[in-house]
Amino acid sequence: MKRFLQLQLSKELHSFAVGLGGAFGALSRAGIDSLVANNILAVLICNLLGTFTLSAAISYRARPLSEFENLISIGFCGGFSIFATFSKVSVGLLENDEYLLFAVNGAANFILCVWAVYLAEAMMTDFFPRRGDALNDNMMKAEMQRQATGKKELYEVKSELEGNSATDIAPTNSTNAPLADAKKNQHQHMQK
Amino acid sequence: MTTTIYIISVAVGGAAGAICRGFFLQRLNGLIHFPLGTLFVNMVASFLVGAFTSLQASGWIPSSLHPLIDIGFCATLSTFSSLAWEIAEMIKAKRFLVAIFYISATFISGMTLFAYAEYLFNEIGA
Repeated sequence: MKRFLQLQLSKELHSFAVGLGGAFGALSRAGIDSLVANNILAVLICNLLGTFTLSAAISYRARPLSEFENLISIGFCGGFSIFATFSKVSVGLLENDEYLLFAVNGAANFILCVWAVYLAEAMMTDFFPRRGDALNDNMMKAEMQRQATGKKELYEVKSELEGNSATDIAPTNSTNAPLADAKKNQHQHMQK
Repeated sequence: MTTTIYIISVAVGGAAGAICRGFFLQRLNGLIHFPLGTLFVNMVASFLVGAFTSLQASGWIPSSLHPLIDIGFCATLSTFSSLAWEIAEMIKAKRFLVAIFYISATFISGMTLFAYAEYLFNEIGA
């Protein structure tokens, strides 16, 4: 029961973080919208800044899928960057027969945003060369497993702290049995 | 409309949109080796924006709801940053065909859904 409550609390925290980030992202986007008179330019600026921030946050993170990462990446960046107004602007350009501007706008959004992803990753690895371990697949798997099984049992944490692998963030003493359990839990969760 | 009401409606709409997007991304993105959730969320947001634009133009929805629904909810429901990041991941994994398919599917069907919703709700509103 206790474990169940903790799981629920963690889920609520996640959605609260996402909502908070979304509210801040929407407000910042509205601010940029009111500052920049041109609608097309405002969309491009929002998309570029949002993509850059998302990629930087993903490269910088130490622990994947945490509440703070949800707040920044899914909440703020997703709310800040925008696709709906982009398609609205594109249809408006097509209706006004401005084909050149339409092509330039579409290409600029896609190419510049993909470039911003690479730029942010390169800058992050330059400035913080010791971060970015979260991109490692093993850490991602360990985190998924940790979230699927809920909070770790106390003796597990103790043994990890007292053991030799105290500095390692990923649980190294995991056997196959908890992994299978985690997979089963995840499957059930998805079916719900 | 005062600035306070504007800010509150944008924030409330943004929070609701972000939570909806997080839900769909979590449910749909892991199903197959393709970001279905992002595509779905962007399509739904484009359709809603088109419907809202024509309903507002024909006077069915008051324009005071514009910050809540359009700037807040629909715009936050759609995302470009996840899209760009997924395209970059596809390019890194040398899945160029999938990336091209993803870009064109999102771009073309987003515009089509927007125009279709505008047309459809124009008919209904008139």
